[in-house]
Amino acid sequence: MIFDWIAREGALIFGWWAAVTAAGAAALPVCLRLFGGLPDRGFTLARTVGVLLVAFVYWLLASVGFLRNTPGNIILAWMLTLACGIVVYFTVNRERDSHVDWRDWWRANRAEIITAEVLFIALLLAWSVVRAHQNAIVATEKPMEQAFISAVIRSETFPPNDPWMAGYAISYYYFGYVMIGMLALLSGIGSGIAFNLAIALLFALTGLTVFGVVYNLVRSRILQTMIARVRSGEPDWRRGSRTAVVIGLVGVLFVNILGNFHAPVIEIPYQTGTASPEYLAFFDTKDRGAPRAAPADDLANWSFWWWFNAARVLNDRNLDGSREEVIDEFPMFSFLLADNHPHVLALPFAALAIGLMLNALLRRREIGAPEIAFYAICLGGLSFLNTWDGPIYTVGVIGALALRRIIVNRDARLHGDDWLRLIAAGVSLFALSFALYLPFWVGFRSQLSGALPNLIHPTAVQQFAVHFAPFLLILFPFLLIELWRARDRFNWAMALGGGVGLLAILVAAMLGLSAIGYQTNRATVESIVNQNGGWEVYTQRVIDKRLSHSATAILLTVGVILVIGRLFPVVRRDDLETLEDESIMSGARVSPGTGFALLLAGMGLVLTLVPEFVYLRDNFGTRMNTIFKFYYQAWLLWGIASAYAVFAVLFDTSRHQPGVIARAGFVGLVTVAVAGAVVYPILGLHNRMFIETGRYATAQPAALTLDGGRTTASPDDYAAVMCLGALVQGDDAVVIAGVGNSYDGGGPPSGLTGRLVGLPVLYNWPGHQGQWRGASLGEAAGTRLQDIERLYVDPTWSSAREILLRYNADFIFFGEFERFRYGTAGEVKFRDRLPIVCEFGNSRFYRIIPEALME
Amino acid sequence: MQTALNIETTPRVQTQFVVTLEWIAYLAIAILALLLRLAELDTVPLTHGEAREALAAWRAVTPSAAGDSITASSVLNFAAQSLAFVTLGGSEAAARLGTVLAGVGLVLLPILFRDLLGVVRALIFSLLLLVSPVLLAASRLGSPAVWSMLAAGLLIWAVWRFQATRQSGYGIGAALALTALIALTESGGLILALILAGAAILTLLTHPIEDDDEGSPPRESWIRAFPWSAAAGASALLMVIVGTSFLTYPVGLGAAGAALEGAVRGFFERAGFQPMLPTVTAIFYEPVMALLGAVALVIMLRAGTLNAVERFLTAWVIMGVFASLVFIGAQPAHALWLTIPLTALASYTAYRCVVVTTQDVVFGIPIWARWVTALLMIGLLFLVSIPFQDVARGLLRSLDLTSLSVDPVSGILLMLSLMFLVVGYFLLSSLWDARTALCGMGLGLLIFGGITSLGAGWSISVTGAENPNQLWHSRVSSRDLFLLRSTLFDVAKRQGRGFAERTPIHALVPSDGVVAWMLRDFNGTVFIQDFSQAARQAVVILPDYGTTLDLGAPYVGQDFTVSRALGAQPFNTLDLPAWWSLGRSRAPVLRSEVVVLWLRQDIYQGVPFNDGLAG
Repeated sequence: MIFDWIAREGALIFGWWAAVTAAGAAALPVCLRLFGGLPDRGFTLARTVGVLLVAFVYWLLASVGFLRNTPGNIILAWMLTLACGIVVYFTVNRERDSHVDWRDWWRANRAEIITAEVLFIALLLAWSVVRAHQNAIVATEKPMEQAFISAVIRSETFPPNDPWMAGYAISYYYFGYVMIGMLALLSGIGSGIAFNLAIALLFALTGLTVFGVVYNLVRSRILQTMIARVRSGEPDWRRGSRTAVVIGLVGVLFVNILGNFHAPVIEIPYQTGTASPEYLAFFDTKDRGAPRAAPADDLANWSFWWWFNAARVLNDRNLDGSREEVIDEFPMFSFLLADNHPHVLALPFAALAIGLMLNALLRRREIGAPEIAFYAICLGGLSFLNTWDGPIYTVGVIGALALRRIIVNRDARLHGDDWLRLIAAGVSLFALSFALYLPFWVGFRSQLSGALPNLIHPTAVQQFAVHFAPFLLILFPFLLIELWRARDRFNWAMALGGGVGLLAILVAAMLGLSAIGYQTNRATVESIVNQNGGWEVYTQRVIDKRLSHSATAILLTVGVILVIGRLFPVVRRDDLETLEDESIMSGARVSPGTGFALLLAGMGLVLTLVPEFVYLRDNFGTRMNTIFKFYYQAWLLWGIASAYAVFAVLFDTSRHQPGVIARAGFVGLVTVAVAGAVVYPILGLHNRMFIETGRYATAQPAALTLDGGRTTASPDDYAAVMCLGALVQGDDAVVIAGVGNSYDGGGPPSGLTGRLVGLPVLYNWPGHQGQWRGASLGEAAGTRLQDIERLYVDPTWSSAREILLRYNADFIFFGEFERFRYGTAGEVKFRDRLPIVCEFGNSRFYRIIPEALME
Repeated sequence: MQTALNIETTPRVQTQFVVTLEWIAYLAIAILALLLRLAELDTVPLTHGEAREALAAWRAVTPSAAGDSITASSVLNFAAQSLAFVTLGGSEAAARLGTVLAGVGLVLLPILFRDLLGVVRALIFSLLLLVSPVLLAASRLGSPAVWSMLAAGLLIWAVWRFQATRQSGYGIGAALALTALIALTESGGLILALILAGAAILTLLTHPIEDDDEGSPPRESWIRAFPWSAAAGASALLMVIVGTSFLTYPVGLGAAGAALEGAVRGFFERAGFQPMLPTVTAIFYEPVMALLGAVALVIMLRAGTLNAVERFLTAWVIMGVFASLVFIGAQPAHALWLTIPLTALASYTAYRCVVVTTQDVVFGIPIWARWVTALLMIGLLFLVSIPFQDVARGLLRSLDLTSLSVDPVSGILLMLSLMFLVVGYFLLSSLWDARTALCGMGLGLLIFGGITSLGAGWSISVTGAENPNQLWHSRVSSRDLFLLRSTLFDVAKRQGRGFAERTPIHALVPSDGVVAWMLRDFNGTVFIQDFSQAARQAVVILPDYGTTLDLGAPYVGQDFTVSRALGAQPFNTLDLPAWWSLGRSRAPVLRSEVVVLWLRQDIYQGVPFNDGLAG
């Protein structure tokens, strides 16, 4: 069956591989010049950079009106990127790189390059196989994402049309959909296939980029050690390549593959009935607080979508015991769920941003104007992909620049001049990344509106531990070993001051925001307090809650202390006379590689610590989204840091190696971490691919295919919509269809023309429209909801005519959802007056003709 | 001319411009080239491909024009047509003016290579390009391939000059030409760039670059000397300015994307039924150039004088043949990929035949000997051609070789003429020498070929423009289209008070085809998707369904042929001589596309349009 599938659809996978590789080839000259700090000079990052650069050039030129959205213009954008890359290669950093012998570079990095190419193909193929088994584009937010992809494919210009609000552009970060749409246009496929191929591609790109970052991180450390130790002659540049390759693959395992401990710790005991009520109540995760009625005797009998609960480990309880939804997603969950949501679309580019950070750290000289411009494109693009990520990694780049100065400066401190330069770099990056993507920011409406205090929802440490167990088991021992390595160089004063100071700031922020909130919303606050027993009772309960759930914050603060103390070692007078390499070897200062891992670990600690006290305000009003976005990045950061930690503890041959017992213990912890975390992907994949699809139970399963289009609607609806999509050229058509609820709740799928073929419907998914447009929804939507209802229900033609004239619509759809929602009585008036253009079974489109409207 | 012919060595370029016979000759060539391309330019309707490009430009400069905007597939063509439409109005001549002028530029391009090829050879090259039927047809029929070839020529020149002088201006020029070639000309531009790159690589592999002569700039890396930043900036500026017509039409840059898309599609989508269309077209229409090009190669190989220039030209031909094999989307005009380098090689043969060598002087062979031989050869070839055409016509009437229906007199005349050819060679070579005889015959063949080439080119682009038997044409537009247009103007004059833009026409035709081009001045045209939308409309244009349609009212109709094509019939090899020499075959010529102009009865009878105008 697999080979039959490859024969049918293998060309599509090859086409996307070729397109992404071509993008990488176009970006390679830029990478070779601007990633001079990395041992492989950015070769492994080139594909991700290429996709971003080509998409940026294409989107920018289309947004300002120079290009239309066509395959030819995508090729033109590719050529422009290549041309710019060639110019950059021959004009930027030529003198600095004049010593580079490319043959030596190839010999030194040959293993990595070959591994990277094989890895990318393997990951792409592997996840394509997964998606071919489980290709459904239904449930959660898949319909919305598919609609965006279809809209990008169909739109002639940018910004793309909103497929569910005719007459308006998408009000969302759509850059990732532009990338998918470009690939779909080039390969001539629709959104039904592009959706599934995109997930496979994201899986592969993420793995490749993470591999590249970890490889370069480890390899740089190995090379530095080698350079410091070589007394005469030329170092063997090929040494350490294999170790770095292996650790790179470990990084892919940690980021892409591992799950959290929800499956072994909670799900298996729950489903098998081996957990006591007290055990489950202790962890108190969503829907798993008490044993199930009867244990499942087979994996096929586990709860429907049991794997989904792995992203609901954190469980915020209000003071009255009611639950607030919190999302704690991680990459393997995302790939399993297969939503092409912005946080998933941004994942490879977030990993790329970490590569930018590493390059900034390892470069011999400070990054200059060409690098600033390049970084701004990448970081600005990250914001355009998923707005939360851009600022995080921009700060990360500044952090890497600061770390570089700390390592280079003899006294391992930052001085006034350093701060000024860092501020200048930060301002430049923020300003330029904003300016380059101005066409997007001009029309963007964010739902973020300030910050709120987290008084009553500190994370239970057991939940935190279940979620981040794989990394906690690796990183904390690593930090402790670094503490041991630092010995008397560990800067306790600065560490404690920094850690406690950070904690104090966060607590102060929480209290301050609470006070502000009370001043501005006194009535609401009073109401809440009164519902919970009055001020005295309420205050006491809040304090009790915070104290009883303080372990998480304490744990994270301890981590911050360990990081700070190691990064800012105690400086002695004779350190000022010592060379950098010697002082690193002696432990007087941290090596760039270790420092970078500590930086990543510290970023993850801060990202997980902050929501314990404050969170960003959005339409949801809770910390759900903050946890979601911050924890997701923490997973990525800690995954890479943990891979380095494995190397640092077990393979780093510099001085101060831990003893055999310590290393054996560390190996044990790593084994436990991996063994526990790999349960989820194994069981989850089996469930998604074979049990949910029914392949497990049938002797003749359905053929494998990446085309999930037909799963989105009934056969008649699907055929009618595809017929209209083929009939209408361009994007200048408005379809009136029934208005469905978010997530297709409570009925058949709606908004099908927008979803499948990118032809905009008048209105759909009002809930999500509200999230995207915020306060401007009222003005945009007007009375559409009511008008559509009246159009379908009211049997009189005069009423319908007035609505049709108002919206200048071209087609009306009567399908499964419309019959379900509005009944069939209202259709008679259309049948009498309007011609039918596409009809399959009971699903049909009516064309609105001027003659009918003139009656 | 006498002085130029006697000089065997390459003269140095004069720093002072002096009017010489050479420049007068070039002027005459330019005038002739222009005349050949401008004459009767308006009498041939646009092809479907031309119409699409013209409409793209027309609708860009005429916002009120009916129909959706179209993305052109050639930026330069779009720019030239836009400019022409704005200054000269929308006509067939204006639509083709750009490629006409580019064609003239191509004919004169050998001027730039005088130093490289020699004064005489460059002039001969230019003369041969003047009579090239492929170039004539391509430029008269608005093919953007002319632009790409012109850009390629300028690119080669700029690269040569940069290599010789290392001046940054030539480097920037090369970058501009390369940008134009790849992005601004047409879909084959990228392919041509790859052809030239391949040819350059082959040349370098077989002829490594040696140090320059004394006095030339010292040898240094081309890469380091190249003005990358300036070239990139200039190229970007060129793309933006030309692509967007000085920023007045921003989306015009999309034509570059369309060209690149066409380049990629051309590897997968066939343009016509004929495989290796450019190669077949080149040999079909310019067999003499192919022959003389091959002869040149033989001469140079035997003499050991295959220098870098000739290697490059040879490699270019090889790469061109390969490209025509793999790029199945190539058009007939892409035969230029082969005809240009073949003509350049053929010019070498002609040059060798024209110059007087030491051997001629030593053996006392008069200068006029070869020219007399050439004249005799021309006469003989004319004699051959008449019975040949007779035989060809006879073969058309025959079913197979056993039932040949050929006039015996023609057959005998043909045989005699061919015998005379052979006998004449031996006579003349015994009278003078073999080289003189061969040169004379070669010159005669060249001149005869030039004359017939002109005829072939004229046939493709004017007299045979409606003949689908021409290899060049797969689907020809009918001159009936002019009749349709004039009929509509009559209707407008009579019914719409002379305002064509107010004539309400409903047309069920492609909005980017030849009929749409004919409707360009009728701004009231509505392009409909279904014939039911034409019901009860005043003026309707519909495809000929062959049956009577119910349009909801009485109508009067007149059919017009839009295009013709050959009927489906297997090609008989006996047709080959007639096909090649007369443009005829036994396959019937059918009306492949016909539209019917329907006028509502009242309109036909003179009731004015209800256009809201008072009085």
